[in-house]
Amino acid sequence: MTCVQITAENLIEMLRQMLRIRHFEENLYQMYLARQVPGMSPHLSVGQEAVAVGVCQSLQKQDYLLTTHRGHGHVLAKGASMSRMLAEIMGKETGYCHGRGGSMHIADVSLNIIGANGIVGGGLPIAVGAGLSSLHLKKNAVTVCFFGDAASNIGSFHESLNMAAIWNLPIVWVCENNQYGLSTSIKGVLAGGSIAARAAAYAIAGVTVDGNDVLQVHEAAVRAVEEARSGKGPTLIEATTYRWYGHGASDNRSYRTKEEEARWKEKCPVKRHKSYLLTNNILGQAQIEAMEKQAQDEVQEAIRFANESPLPNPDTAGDYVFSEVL
Amino acid sequence: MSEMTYRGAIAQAIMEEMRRDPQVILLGEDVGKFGGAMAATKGVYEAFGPGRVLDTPISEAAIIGAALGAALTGLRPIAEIMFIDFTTCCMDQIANQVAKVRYMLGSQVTVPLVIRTQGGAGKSYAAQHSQSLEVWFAAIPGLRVVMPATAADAKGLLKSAIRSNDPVLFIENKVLYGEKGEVPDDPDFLLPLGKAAVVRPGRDATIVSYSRQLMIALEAATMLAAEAIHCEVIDLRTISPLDMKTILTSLEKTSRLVIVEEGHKSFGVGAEITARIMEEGFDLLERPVARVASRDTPIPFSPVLERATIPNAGKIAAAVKSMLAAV
Amino acid sequence: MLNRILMPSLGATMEEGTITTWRFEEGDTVESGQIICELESDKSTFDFESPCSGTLRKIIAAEGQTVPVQQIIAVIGDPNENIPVEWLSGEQKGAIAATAEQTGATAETETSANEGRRVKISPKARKLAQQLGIDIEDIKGSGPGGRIESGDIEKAAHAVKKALKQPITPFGPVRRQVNAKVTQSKQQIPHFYIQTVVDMTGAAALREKYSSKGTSISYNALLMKAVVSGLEAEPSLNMEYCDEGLRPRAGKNVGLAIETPGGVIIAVIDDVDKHEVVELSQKIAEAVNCARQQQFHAIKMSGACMTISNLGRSRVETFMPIIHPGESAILGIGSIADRPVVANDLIVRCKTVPVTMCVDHRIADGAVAARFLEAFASYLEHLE
Repeated sequence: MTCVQITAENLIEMLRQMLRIRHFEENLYQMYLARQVPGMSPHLSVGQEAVAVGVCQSLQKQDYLLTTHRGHGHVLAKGASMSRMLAEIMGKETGYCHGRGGSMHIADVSLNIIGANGIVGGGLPIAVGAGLSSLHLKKNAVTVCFFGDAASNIGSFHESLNMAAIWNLPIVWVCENNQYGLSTSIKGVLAGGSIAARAAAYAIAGVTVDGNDVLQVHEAAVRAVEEARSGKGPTLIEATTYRWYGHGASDNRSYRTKEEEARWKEKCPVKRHKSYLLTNNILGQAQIEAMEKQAQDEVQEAIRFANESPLPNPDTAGDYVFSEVL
Repeated sequence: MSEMTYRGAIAQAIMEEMRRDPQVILLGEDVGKFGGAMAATKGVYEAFGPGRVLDTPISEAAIIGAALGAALTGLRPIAEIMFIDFTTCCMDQIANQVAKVRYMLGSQVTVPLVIRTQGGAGKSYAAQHSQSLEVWFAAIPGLRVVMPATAADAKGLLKSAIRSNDPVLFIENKVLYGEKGEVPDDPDFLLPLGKAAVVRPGRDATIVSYSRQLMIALEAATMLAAEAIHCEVIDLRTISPLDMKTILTSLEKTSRLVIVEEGHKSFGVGAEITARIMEEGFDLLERPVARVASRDTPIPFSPVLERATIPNAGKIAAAVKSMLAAV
Repeated sequence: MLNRILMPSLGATMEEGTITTWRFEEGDTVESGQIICELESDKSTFDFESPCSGTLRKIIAAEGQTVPVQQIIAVIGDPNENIPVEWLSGEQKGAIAATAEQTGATAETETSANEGRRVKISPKARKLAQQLGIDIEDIKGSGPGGRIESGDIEKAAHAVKKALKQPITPFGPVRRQVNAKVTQSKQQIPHFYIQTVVDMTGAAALREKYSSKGTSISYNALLMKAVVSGLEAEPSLNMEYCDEGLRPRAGKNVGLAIETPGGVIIAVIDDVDKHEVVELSQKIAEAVNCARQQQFHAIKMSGACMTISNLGRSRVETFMPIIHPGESAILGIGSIADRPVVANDLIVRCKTVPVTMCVDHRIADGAVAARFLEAFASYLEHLE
C-alpha cells in the first residue's frame, strides 16, 4: 500500500474546513431554536466533521458529490458558500435553490454537488448514473456518495452497490456510521454487524475507519478515489462517528445515554485534529484561535447576507418545474 | 412512408435518435442483446454496442436512479421498465427524484430523461402484468406522460420525448406492439408533446381516448356510423399535460362527451377531464360527461372475466347512444 | 343594518302596486325622504319617499313589475352586509342557484314553498334560453328525468316567434284590475237580464229648462235619481250578497262607469237621495274629471249598490254590462235617440233610451227587478 502524501497546507486546510462546519452548524442550531429557520429542524452534523473533510480533501473540482438530509458538512467541505447555503435554509430567493429545496435539498451544481436527498438511500442510484456518465463521457470524474448507517439496509443500497460493481464505475461509497437511524441503534438492525463487510457481497473493497480521525478518513478516501479514477471500480468506506445532536433539534435523544454522549464528545474530531496540529508544531494556539474567529466571522457574514436577502416572489412558485412549457 | 409495426417504429425512433446524438443511451432489463422483452428494442444493441446499450440487473430503483444521475451529468438516457406494474419498485426515484429534482434545486439542473414502459390488459397476463397506471404519474408535477396509439405516433412522440429536456414517461401498450401502420421515413419526423389529435371528425358526440382504447373507440365509431351516429374521436396522445383546447373545440360542435380509458373508472383520466370540463366548458354540455373505463377491481386472469372488466366497442357505443337518446 | 323597503298601501282597497320608474340605481346612496321610485296602483300614481338613509343595495322589484302590498321592493342599508337570500325575488334566487351549481357550492336557496323551484336544464340549454330570452319556468323538458335540453328551448323560441305578430303591450294596473273584476264577476255572479225602453222626452225638456237658466244637469244625474226611485220601490235590491245571506247597505250609493286612458273605473256617489239634481250633476262632473286625469285618490270607488254604465252618446241599442263584484246590479244605458213608439194608436217619433238591467239572481228575482225598472222608468217619465 503506497503512502498517502499530505502537506502542512492540507492539514491546516482540514482544520479550517472542520471549523467552518462546526461553527456553521452550531450557529444554525441556535437560529433554529430562535425560530429563525422555517420547516423541520435542520439535521446537524456536529461531531461528524472529520468524515466530510477527510473525504472532500481527496476530491478534485470535477468530482461529483451526493449527500443526504444531514449534508451541510459535505457541501461546505466541497467549497460551497455559507451565505448561499444559509439563504437556502431560510427559504430566501438568494439561496442555492431559490428557496425551493431548503436544508435537505442543497446543491451547488457548479461545484458538481448534484444534490442532497431527503429520502434515505435516494442518492445511491443517482450516484450510479453520475458514475455511468463519467465513464461514458470520459470525464475523469469520481463520484462520492455519502449515506448513513441506516441506509445500508434499504433496497436501493444493494441495487446501487451491485450495479456500480458490475459496471466497474468510478464511485466511492462513504457510509457515515453515526450509530443511529433516528432513534434506532444500528446494532439491533444490521445483520452481520458490519457495513463495510457488505462490500464483499458485491466483490468490492470495504474499509472501516475511525470517522473522527480526519487523517484516517482522508487516507482511506485518497486510496478509494485513486482506485476509482484509475478504473479499478468502487470502494465502500464505513466511517465510524457520532452525531452530538439528535436526529433533529426537537429530538430529546432519550434513546442514548448521557455517558455514551460524553464518551463520544471526548473523541471530538476537531479537538483531536487541533491537538495533532499543536503537538506537531504545525499551528500555534493563537493561529488556531484566529482560525476559529475566521470561521465565526464567515458565519456571521452568512447570517447577515441571509437576513438581508429577499424572500422569493410567491407568484414565481410555479417556476422551474419544467425547462420548457408545452 | 413505410409500413411497420408499433414496436418496429419504437426501435427505429430510438436508433435514429441515438445516431443523431451520442449522448443518448439505452438501459434496462433485457433491452440489449435480447432486443427487449416486448421486442421493441430489436437491433439497437447490434447498432450501438454495449457502450451505449446497457443490459441491467433486475434493479428498477437503480435503473431509474442511474438514468437520472446520468441525465444530471451530461447524458440523455432512455431507461426501460419492462411492465408499468414494476414502476412500484422504483417509485421513489420516479416520484421523489426524477420529477422533483429540477424544481428542488431551483433550476440548477435539467433532466433530459425518457422512461419507457408498457401497460394494458387484454392478454390474460393477470393483475400484476396488466395495469394502466398513467394516472399515478400524471398526478405528479414535474413529469410528462405520453401514450401513443399508432406506429407513426409512437415514432413521432418518442423522438420528441428523447429530444425534450424534461423527463417523459413514455407508456407503450402491449396489445398494440404488433399493430401495423404507415410511418414517415423522415428522421426529423416529430409529433408535438402536449397536443391531442382529432383522428375522426364527427358532429353527434365526442369520444376522447388514448393508447389501445383509442383503437377500440374507432371501432365503436365505425359501428355507430352504420346507424347514422357520427362521432368525433380525439386521441389525447399526451395525458399530462392535457390538451383541453382540442376537446373543448370538439364539444362546441357536439355538446356530448364520452371518455374512454383502460385504467380504473375511479380517480381516472376521465375524472380529471370531466372536472376540467366543469371549469372550462360547463355551458357546452347538453348531457353529463360519460366515462367508459375498467371496473374498480384487479384485472382478472380468465379471458372471459378480463373482457368483462375492461372497455370494449360495445360498451363505448352504448355510452354514446345513451347520450343521444330521448328519455 | 339592512332595511326591507315594502310596497306601501296607498288605499284601504289597494292590493298591489306597480313600479313605474326607479329614480336610483343599485349602489347609490339615498337619504331618508328622497323620492326613490314612482309607483302606480289601480287608483293612482305615487312618488315613493325612502323611509331610511343608506345604500340602495338591491332592487327586488324591477321597473314594470307588479308586487302585492307589503311585499319587499328593495333593500337599503349597510353597503357590506350580506342580504338574506329569502329577501330576493324568485328569479334572483334562481340566478344564485345557477352560480352555486357551477361552483359546486351547496347554496341554501329554498325558502317558502312557492319560490325557487329548481328547474332541471342542461347547461347548454340554460345559456341558450338566456340568449333567446325564453322563460324556462314553463317549458317541459324532453331530456332524461324531464331535463330541458337545447331542442326544447329552440322549439319554445320558435313557438313564441310564431305566436307574436306584434309585440305585446303589457297590461297597466287599471286594466289588470278591470280584467280581474270582470272575470271574477262572470265566473261567480249569476246574471239575468231584463230590458225596457224609457221615454226621455221629459228628461230632455228638464235639461233644456236648466240650460236656459244657465245651469246644467246631466242625464247621469237623472239616471241616478231614477235608481233611487227604483230602490225606494224595491229596497231588496239595496243589499249586499254574502255566503250566509244578504246584508242591507247603509246608504243609497250609485256608481257610474267612467272610461279612462287605462281602462274603465267606477266612481261612486254616496247618498244620491240626499243630493238634488244640480248638485248631483256637479258631483258627477267632478268625478268624471278626476277619473279622466287618473287622480283616483280623489274618487270613491266602492260601496255602490249598483252602477250605471252609460253609452248614451253612441249608437248602441242594447248592451249587457257585467255587474261590479259587491254590487247587486248594473244598468246598461243605450243611446238616447228618436225612435218610433206607439202612442194613442199612432206611431210617433219619441226620444227614448233602451235600458238593460243586469241583476245578481242571488239577490233578486225577475219580478223584483221588473218592479225596480218600473219605478226607475216612471221617475224619468214623470219629471217636472
